[in-house]
Amino acid sequence: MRIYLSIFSVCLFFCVSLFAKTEMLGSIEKVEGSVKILKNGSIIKTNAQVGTKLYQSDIIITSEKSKANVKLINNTTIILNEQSKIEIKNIESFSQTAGKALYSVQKNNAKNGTKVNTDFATIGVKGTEFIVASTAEDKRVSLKNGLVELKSLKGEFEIHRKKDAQEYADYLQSLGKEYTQYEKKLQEEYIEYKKSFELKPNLTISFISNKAFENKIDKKIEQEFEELESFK
Amino acid sequence: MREILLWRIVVVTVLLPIILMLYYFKVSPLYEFSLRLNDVNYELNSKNPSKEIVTVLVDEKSVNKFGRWPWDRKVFAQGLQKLSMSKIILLDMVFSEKTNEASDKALSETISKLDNVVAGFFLRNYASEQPSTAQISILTDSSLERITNHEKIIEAKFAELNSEEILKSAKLSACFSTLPDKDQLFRKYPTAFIYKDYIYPSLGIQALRIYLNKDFDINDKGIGVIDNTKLSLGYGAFTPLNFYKPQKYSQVSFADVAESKIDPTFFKDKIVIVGISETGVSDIRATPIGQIAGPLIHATFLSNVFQNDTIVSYEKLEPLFIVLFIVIPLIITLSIKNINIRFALYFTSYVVYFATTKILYIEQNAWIDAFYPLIALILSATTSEVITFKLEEKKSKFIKDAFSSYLSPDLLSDLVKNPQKLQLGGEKKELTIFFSDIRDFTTISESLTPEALVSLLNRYFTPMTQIVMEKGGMLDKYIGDAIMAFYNAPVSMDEHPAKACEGALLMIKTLSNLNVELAKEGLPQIRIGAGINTDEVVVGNMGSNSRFNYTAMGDGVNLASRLEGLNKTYGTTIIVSEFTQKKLDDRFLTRKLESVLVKGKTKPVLIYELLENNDENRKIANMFEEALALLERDDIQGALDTFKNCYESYGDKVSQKFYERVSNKKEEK
Repeated sequence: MRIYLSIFSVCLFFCVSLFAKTEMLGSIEKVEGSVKILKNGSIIKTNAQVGTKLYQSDIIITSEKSKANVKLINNTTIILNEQSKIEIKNIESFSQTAGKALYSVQKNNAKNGTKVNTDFATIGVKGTEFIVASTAEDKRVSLKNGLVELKSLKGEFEIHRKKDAQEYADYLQSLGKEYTQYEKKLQEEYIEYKKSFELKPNLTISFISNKAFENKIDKKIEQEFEELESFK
Repeated sequence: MREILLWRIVVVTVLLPIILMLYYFKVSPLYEFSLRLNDVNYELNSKNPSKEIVTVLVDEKSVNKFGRWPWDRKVFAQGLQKLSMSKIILLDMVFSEKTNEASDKALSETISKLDNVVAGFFLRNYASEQPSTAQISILTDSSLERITNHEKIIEAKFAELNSEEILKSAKLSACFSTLPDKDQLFRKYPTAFIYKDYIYPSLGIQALRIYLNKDFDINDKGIGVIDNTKLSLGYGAFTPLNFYKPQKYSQVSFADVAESKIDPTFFKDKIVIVGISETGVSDIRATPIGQIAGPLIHATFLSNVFQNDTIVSYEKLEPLFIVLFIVIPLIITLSIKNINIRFALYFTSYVVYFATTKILYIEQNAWIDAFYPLIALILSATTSEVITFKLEEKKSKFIKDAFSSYLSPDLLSDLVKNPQKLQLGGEKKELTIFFSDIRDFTTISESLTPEALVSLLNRYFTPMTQIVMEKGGMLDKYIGDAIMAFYNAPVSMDEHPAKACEGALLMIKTLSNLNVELAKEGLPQIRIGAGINTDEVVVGNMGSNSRFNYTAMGDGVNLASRLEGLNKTYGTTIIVSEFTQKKLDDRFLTRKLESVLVKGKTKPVLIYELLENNDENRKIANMFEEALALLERDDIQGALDTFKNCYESYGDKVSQKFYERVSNKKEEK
């Protein structure tokens, strides 16, 4: 009996593995311009159309003046802007190697959290909406709500943060005339060294190698959100 | 020794960074020499290229047939159609300009119909215009998307692409650009280039992707991987090519293909590279195997992959071999004294290394540099030899300075040639020590003016010193009127007790001649007493850092000095200890005196007088020993008579001294 159970378990495991590998993870919801898909195991790129099914390790590529809306079975939505490239490693892990994309991750769907790998950081989320830009000139994560954790790929981030305006004024008052000392201290406080850190809502963080510069989301980024959200 | 080691450390710390810098920064012209030396490998490659790869060349025959290149595209399309049975067609050429519509259409339709054509394009650093957006958009279909590590891949700013129609009709596109080495020879094959943020494969890599239906990756370790093949990648993600003998490549003329002179089934399921070899078009590349048609470079790469002939680079190990060949001469110069053997070992070590690299290449396709280890060996060996020579020269000078006054020239030159015979640090060694002293020197010195005394001493010391040196002894020092010398150091010698005794006897003889001269000049006579002992003593350089002497020390030395002093007691000239006497052969005549308890010794030492070996002395010695034997048997009167007879007959002073001593004792009783 034990032998039969063992054989059954092994068969079940193989079936599940096979199923897991071929399981559909989502599909293309909307396409604008030229969007290509490089299927896992193929070397020829095919044109993506609405309804094109997506599987593990598929790569979605948008051309110039093109956009794609990808909806995954766990309700995660990814809007790829033009000239972007994302590999769907699995339902909760993506690799963005080019362009800009808006990720909308549902909180209740993220068991282990969703990960986005870029060449400047690993972004970890548990339900939120954020933009990842991964181009030569613009390496950035902008967050509208929720929390995003950023992990360094190598060494520590040198995080440059701005103090809150009110905090700044209070601090200035408390120090009175010792402005020089304050300035010095302020400089020290601005820079933090961390292997990982959290990005709070309405903030955007840009990367130049391991230096990370945190700022508030400005109008330009808000427009960016609106523009990409409009493609939902 | 410390100095030698110190110099070796200096050699390593200076040479190693220099050679490693020359190696890493590929400094000219050494780098070019290294490339040429390593090209020897290709001469040893007896393998054949893959039969699955065929090169169709627009050659002289084709040009003669269809006119100067470029042809009407219809003509080219017709020829291309004959390759329909092939698996993949790689076009090592670019159709960037539009010509007449009908011909362009014919070519693009043929390419589209074949559905296995990879259209080539090339990259450049300068161009007056960029391809259109539409061209680039089509080109991106051919890009590589699964490259894990693109650090090594180089970027090109401009590209010469096929026309939009050709790009559309081709299955995929790929780049046929490549770059030569510093010496302008093509040895390496690119895997990929970056152009406008996309990574494009080379013609060979694209062919493999289609043939194997597997994607190409460069992994985290920077190794190119496609299916089961791993490619060693160097600068620019280029992989080294393993060239075959030029005549072994499968090449056919485009003219023969177009005219159906070649059966179309010949191309069945093969990879066909279509390119140009006609000299006027100048796609001729200089490679280590000579000037070859550019398409053969792609054929070489593909054959390397198909035949498992891809070169395995051992670049990471090469610095270790450089270190090894810096260290080898240091070890050899330290342990081998013979310069000829040293040079033979340098030569052998490199030959073994060179042969090993070649065997590994033949057997394993391993590519190991043989040039920089050679440079390391030459520089290290030269430096080590110069240092060794300088140190030996310094040592020789030291030996000459230290011993020239105390050793004979022959002995000195032997010591200079073989400095290892000299243990300057000190050693325990059996020596024969000689002491001599002038009798009644005080009386002599008082009878002479200081100048006359110095002159007399010089006349005495000169021949005495010469005798010591002639007999191979080392003159240790003059102590006032005394001479101290020893034999068997610094250079070891056989029969050192005999040599010391020969020297002592010769001194007495020489002195008697000198005394004749002195008598004539009305100067005082010189008589000496000498003591000789053989014992194990400490010998070496002793003194302070600034002033030191090569000398001997120990009880054995003290005993020799005491024996010299005993001559006064016995009326003898040369006294030797029993330890020296035991080592003398029949050539020497000695007579036993008695056992004496010498100051500083607990055990009595038997002493002997050394005599010149002549008839009279032999008679004296016999008579004296007879008297001693009578004395031992308590025949006092008999002994006294014999002693008396001996000194009265031969004037033997020793017998007289013994007679007086025995008489006194008898009277005391």
